[in-house]
Amino acid sequence: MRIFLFLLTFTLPAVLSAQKNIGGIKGVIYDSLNDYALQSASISVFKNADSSVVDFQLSNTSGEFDIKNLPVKTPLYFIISHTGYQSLVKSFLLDSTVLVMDFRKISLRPKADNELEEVTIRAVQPIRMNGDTLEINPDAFRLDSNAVVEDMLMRTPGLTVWSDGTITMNGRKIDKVYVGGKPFFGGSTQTATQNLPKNAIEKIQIYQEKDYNKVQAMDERADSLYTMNIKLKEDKNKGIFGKVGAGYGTDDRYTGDGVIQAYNKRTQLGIAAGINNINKEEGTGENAFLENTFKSNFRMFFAGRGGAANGITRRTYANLKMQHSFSDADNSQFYNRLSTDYGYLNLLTNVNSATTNIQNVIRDNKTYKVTNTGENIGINSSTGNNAKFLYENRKQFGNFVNITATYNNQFSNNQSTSQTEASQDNLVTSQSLNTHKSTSTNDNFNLFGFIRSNDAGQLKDPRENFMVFFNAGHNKGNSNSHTVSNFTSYIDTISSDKIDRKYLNNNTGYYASLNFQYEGFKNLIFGIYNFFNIDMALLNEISINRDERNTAVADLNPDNNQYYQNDLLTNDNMLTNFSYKPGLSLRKSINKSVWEKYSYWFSAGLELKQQFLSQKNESSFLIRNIERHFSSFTPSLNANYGFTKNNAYRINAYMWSNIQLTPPSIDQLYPIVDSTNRYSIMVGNPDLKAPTARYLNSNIELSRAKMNTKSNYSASLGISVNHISDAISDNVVYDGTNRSVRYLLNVKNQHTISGNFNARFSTNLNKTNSLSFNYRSNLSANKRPGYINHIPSVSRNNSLSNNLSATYSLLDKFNISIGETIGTNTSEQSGSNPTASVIRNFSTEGNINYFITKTLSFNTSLNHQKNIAANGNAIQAGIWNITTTYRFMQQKAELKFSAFDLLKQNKNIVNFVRENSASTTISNGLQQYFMLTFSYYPRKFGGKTGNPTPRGGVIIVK
Amino acid sequence: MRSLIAILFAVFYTPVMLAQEARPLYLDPENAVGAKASVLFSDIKLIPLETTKSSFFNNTTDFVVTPDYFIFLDGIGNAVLIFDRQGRFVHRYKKKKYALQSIRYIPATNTLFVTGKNKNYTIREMKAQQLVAQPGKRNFAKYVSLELLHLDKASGYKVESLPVPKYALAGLIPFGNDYLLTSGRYNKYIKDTVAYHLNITQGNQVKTTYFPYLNLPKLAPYYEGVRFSIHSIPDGTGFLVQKEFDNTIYKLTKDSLFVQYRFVFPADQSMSGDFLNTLYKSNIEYNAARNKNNKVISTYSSIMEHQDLLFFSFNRLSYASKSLLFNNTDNKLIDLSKITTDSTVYFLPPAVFSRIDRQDKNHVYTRISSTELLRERDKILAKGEDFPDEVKELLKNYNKFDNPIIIQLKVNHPGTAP
Repeated sequence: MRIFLFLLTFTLPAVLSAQKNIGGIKGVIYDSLNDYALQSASISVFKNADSSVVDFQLSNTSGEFDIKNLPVKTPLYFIISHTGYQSLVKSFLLDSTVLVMDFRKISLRPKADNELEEVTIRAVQPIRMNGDTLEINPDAFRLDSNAVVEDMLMRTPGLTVWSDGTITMNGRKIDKVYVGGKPFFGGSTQTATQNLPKNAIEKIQIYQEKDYNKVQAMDERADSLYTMNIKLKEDKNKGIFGKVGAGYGTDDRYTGDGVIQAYNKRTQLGIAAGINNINKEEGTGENAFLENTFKSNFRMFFAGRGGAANGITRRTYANLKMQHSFSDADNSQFYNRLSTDYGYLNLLTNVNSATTNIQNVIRDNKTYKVTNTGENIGINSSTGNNAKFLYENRKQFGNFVNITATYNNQFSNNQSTSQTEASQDNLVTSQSLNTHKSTSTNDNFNLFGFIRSNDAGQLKDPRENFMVFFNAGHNKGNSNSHTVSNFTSYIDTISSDKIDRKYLNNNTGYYASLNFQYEGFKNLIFGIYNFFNIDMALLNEISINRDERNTAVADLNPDNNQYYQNDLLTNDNMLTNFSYKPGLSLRKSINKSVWEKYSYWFSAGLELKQQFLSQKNESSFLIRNIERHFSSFTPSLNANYGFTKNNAYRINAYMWSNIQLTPPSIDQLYPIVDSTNRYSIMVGNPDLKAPTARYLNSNIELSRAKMNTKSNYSASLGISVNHISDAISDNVVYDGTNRSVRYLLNVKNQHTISGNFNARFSTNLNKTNSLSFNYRSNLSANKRPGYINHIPSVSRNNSLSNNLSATYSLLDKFNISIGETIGTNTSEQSGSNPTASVIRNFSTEGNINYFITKTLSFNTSLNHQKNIAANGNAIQAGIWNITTTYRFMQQKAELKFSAFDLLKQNKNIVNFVRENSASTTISNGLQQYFMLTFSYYPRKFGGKTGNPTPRGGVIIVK
Repeated sequence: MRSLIAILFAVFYTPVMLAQEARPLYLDPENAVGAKASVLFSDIKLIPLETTKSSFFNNTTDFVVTPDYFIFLDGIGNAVLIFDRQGRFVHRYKKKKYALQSIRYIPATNTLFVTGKNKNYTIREMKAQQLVAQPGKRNFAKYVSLELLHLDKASGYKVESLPVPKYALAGLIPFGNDYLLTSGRYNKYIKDTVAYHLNITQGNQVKTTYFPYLNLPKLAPYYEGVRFSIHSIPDGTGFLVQKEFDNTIYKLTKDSLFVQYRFVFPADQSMSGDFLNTLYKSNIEYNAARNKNNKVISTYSSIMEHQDLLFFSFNRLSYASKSLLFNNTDNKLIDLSKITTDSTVYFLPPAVFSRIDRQDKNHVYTRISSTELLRERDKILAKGEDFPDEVKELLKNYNKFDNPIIIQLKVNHPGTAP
């Protein structure tokens, strides 16, 4: 917290010193011939010295303009232009005597029919209104030749580019970004705006389009979306861009990656591959296409802990992404396209961890502590292949076909050694040493489809409306493992032993489900009678799945060093579930829109469903051969509400709740207990009843919806409640060596309540300075009755976390973000001897980016953690990283120096409390290293170079 | 096959139209000029509509000016509200179970024609086509109401129910003793290849037809209806009619249809002829063809001839709209959104002039809502030292829960308009 305050103090002077441009100009623009005010005329202010754009504005409905924050004592000139009029240029200088210059009435002369504008002046205006479309002209922005679209958007008045890539215009989010009317590499904003060069753009159009998802809605204005279309120059409709980079550092750390993305009018193709041993996840795999943009390193990025994962991982990946459109549809509402994704990922992780676990145990009316300390050394490797095909087709408003096929193949290899010691009031009672090796392979195939046919009665009989979801798949896996477990008891009555056990598991699974909703049901029974405008649909959900498992287990007989089959664990098992849920869905929606005042909509839906579930388990253990049938009423209710007060604020709220029956699993009724699990043994209960869960989830969000405002705010509150009756709990019984045995049983009720609150505020101090704050809070509380050593004991867990962060940004120069998180976890055990455990976590983060020149930037990030465990012990760790980046060869080449963990303190600490147990795990992480990385960004847009790009700014032709 | 259909259509389409040749007017709406309000208007009168518990309304679905009244259809409140010419509230009409759809003034009988739809039934266009084609013994009054609201005081605003012909499902406009009916969509229940967009009907019979089209699947009317704008002529003798994408304004009288104005706009704002005559394989192809032309002018939301002037507003496919004033005497086009407000019009915001769409013999009318006026009030009052006291009072006392204010304007003699 002190660091947070320090950083906040450090930031304030920067914020206060940000304001220095204080001059301005104003006036009214008139038509000289007809003497009326000219609306939407462009007024642009330029510097005399280099003709760079300082600011620009469109005149309002009364022809007025008022441009503020212009530099003083700097020779400037402005150009006023309007379609059909001769442009006007005027020089001016602001100083302390005339800070604001009022030009009063400025008259523009209409052009004669045969008059060419170029005869007197060719002014390249940055923005103009073309009908209802705002057009941004890239040629008017004097930026370096490597500038991308985002550099230009950041300088366009009314537009705000946020650190996460979101773009807003006058406070309203730009919902869609297209390139040539199509989504670009999956539709992510940054992929288009941080890669496409400004010089490849003919113009950017921002307009409102109707949201066809709300085809039946009444008010066009409220349902329209803000859309940005980046129109490429005719010769730039194909392009190739990407990144190739490699780095090597001390401690044998390395990283290497390559991404190439190419596009033409109908097809987009991307290939990415890389390897690193610095725990780097961002910008790898699927994200390689989104996070390796040309300008990504020169934007604000938040520190995080940077490679904070447990252990040290070597990550090798290769990905392919392709999208092809079969039709030339030029809006996103209708499409017919195929997307393909392939991914390969290999992970090799070394994890060493040390865990201390303390359990409060009641026996003979006395409370004492059982302490387990363990150390684990593991080497895990896994290899996965993932292929996905997605076909999407939408020809009518309500007619969709989406089919996804995925294939996943995984091979993994794990090795670990762990040692655990149990002690009671500091007296060691037992010890266990386990080594474990396993290899496993898994193959999964899944097919998912969604088909909807409902064109709101336009071309088709509404009685034929339906919606189908289907999902089917097959998985196959096998694993081979070997565990050696040495258990040493220091209690006379319990013997020590050694188990050397081998396992061979094969499993095969099939599943299929079909959800058919007959939306034409109302029309079928009522015809044109609309039944109080309540929509009705018949619901039918059928699912079947089968899981076959064959487990062969053999133990070593130390007498003859031979392995013999373990009859208690070797088994064949086949579980078949069949579920059928028929039901009826009812939905009523109302909306009201009063032009210029407010609008609201409310929609409530009720699904009445009965679930019939049959479960059959066939096993080589007779006791596990069971067949069960359940029937339960599982209704659900949901409601949505939206309210917009015109030019003021928006409220959105939703609520949903349901009732669900979850029968106990066969492993809860008749578990097969493996004695190598030394300290946690579960005993099943064939009399367990099926718990019924009632769930309620609600959320409300408030946001400012005011045009032309400098500041924006939003807040959201979410609450969820979960109540389980006949919940499955346990009676934990500790033996003399402090091994715990869990006897499962039903308790009356279990409750969980959780909530989250999030508030954001941002303000633009001026055109280049902005400040934002974000506050998040999460609360969770649960009550879980159970037993410890046969004594009733209720455990209450509460957790609360608060996070506050602040960011200050000076465009293209400097940005700083700081954040503080405080988390508290409390666990209370009430019974005959109540106990309580509390853990606290404090985390402080700071990140600074300083762009020294256009090609040289400096970043430093600091993360400090303090963890106070249940026993009061505090552990602190800090991680401080520094990065310097230098771009050259027209910014296409990059040299980066990174220093990781300068304090040499990096470790990962996790504290955990639950019921009567509190644990702390410390695992290894990356240690200090220094690395030098070289990257090259190949870029080519369009074919031959063609005509040279016109110079930015203005060209005056006398 | 696609081009064959287009040729076939072009051949039989042209001679069917009863066309009286009109001189083409070449105009570019984008370059229409503005004007100072004082040049165009004089004699402004602000008529606040009385606000009481029963007269308050938030929404204007339709607005009618009669010699004695201002009449509003409030689509949200589902009521017809009648105010006298001084803005005093006179009468409110509501109909239970029915959602009121439209109002039309019939000068000959001094009545208001009111249509309504039974809230208990939802009849989509295709279903309506089926019910019209196969009426059986259905009583269409169950679904639609056609009523005459008598406006003479002596009648006590009596409401008279009219017989409901089957065509009422498709929306009818009264035309003397007959009705005007438009159908813009492909109709699979019509067996003929040729159907008509505009029909004059009497009872359940079609008397006269205009605007033939090919009633075949995969043409534009199969994917989306061709829309018509139909605006009454004040004396009730006919209508000004515009067909979507056709920048011609027709005059329809009892026995003829002829061209009143033939505007020719720049090519990028006009739909090319083959759009309506092409067979589209799918909705994707149809929409791509539409979106390629999003600057194109499609429908005219208002058309009003006032003396020698034509006030009209159009919408583009991109949902943008423009309101224009065409001066018949000198063929000049004025963009109403570019009017510079001044003291002649009490510095009212320029947007109100884009909404001039009602008239009587001597005046044109527009209106301003409380939200819009209150947003500008302080600015207006600051410039309005010379305003008449009653205007100052009106502006000062106006609040956000008040009904809109009707703005009555006298248009300067057309000869003086630019």
